[in-house]
Amino acid sequence: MNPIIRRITENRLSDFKGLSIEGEIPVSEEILNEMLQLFLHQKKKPQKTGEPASPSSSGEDSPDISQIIIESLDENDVKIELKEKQAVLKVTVRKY
Amino acid sequence: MSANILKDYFLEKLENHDLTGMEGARLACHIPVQENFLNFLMNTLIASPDKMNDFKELHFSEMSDDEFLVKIDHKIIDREIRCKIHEIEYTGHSEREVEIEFLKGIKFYEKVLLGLFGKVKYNWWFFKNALESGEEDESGAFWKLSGSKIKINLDVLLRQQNLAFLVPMVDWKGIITKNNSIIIDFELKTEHHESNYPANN
Repeated sequence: MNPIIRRITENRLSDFKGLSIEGEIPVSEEILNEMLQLFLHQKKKPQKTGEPASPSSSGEDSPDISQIIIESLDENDVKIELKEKQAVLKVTVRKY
Repeated sequence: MSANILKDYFLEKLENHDLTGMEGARLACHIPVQENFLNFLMNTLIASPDKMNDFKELHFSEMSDDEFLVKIDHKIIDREIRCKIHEIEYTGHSEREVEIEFLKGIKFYEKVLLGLFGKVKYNWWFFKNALESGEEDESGAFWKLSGSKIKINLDVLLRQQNLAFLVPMVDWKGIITKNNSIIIDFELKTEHHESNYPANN
């Protein structure tokens, strides 16, 4: 790993004490629905040849049942509808 | 959902300047970088053969009251220079620029040498390659030496780091030194910050 990234992660941001990011991000209904569609239609990455299988307890090597069910449906229209047509993500990030 | 899918989705929108559905976002960012980390960063870059290894030393200390001491050991200059960071201002081209004034430790002839050094095209992280390239085209340089000051063009710096999409979104509030840290304050806004430009631009 890059030594700079390694230091940032190993020191758990202690080099940036006092860091803060605060504010709001308005997100439209349209964007939320685009994100939802990405979620519903995302494909599982194929496992590289030679990679050890994931432990069965994690369920990662089992077939993606939810994807199979979704693809088997004849009609599948899931969407988010906001009454005011906009959601607001409130962001507060701090390192003490 | 994988965080990468979301990251790629938003990055693509931002890179295409497509802020539809995200207008009006405001994030105030306050990022203190401690002296220890800054010096670790410099040492790492100096130790990298493809980055800044023609510097023997670049060490920051006494970072407070918007001032700092920097020890530079390079084939062109070997000095300890006390510097002061001034307020971020707009250039004639409505680009944001921060001025660092040399208060002590640098002589007239060294400023001339640095001026020549400044004519070489390079960016902050890849001094060495550029110094060796010998190109004299200044169009891409993000800093220039002016008298007893060095002026850093923050917009050009972002563009050189492949972050051009951030230029219209970042509203710089200040860069100061305090408590052995350099503190960077800015706001990220998903609206053009032209309204913040001084009226005479």
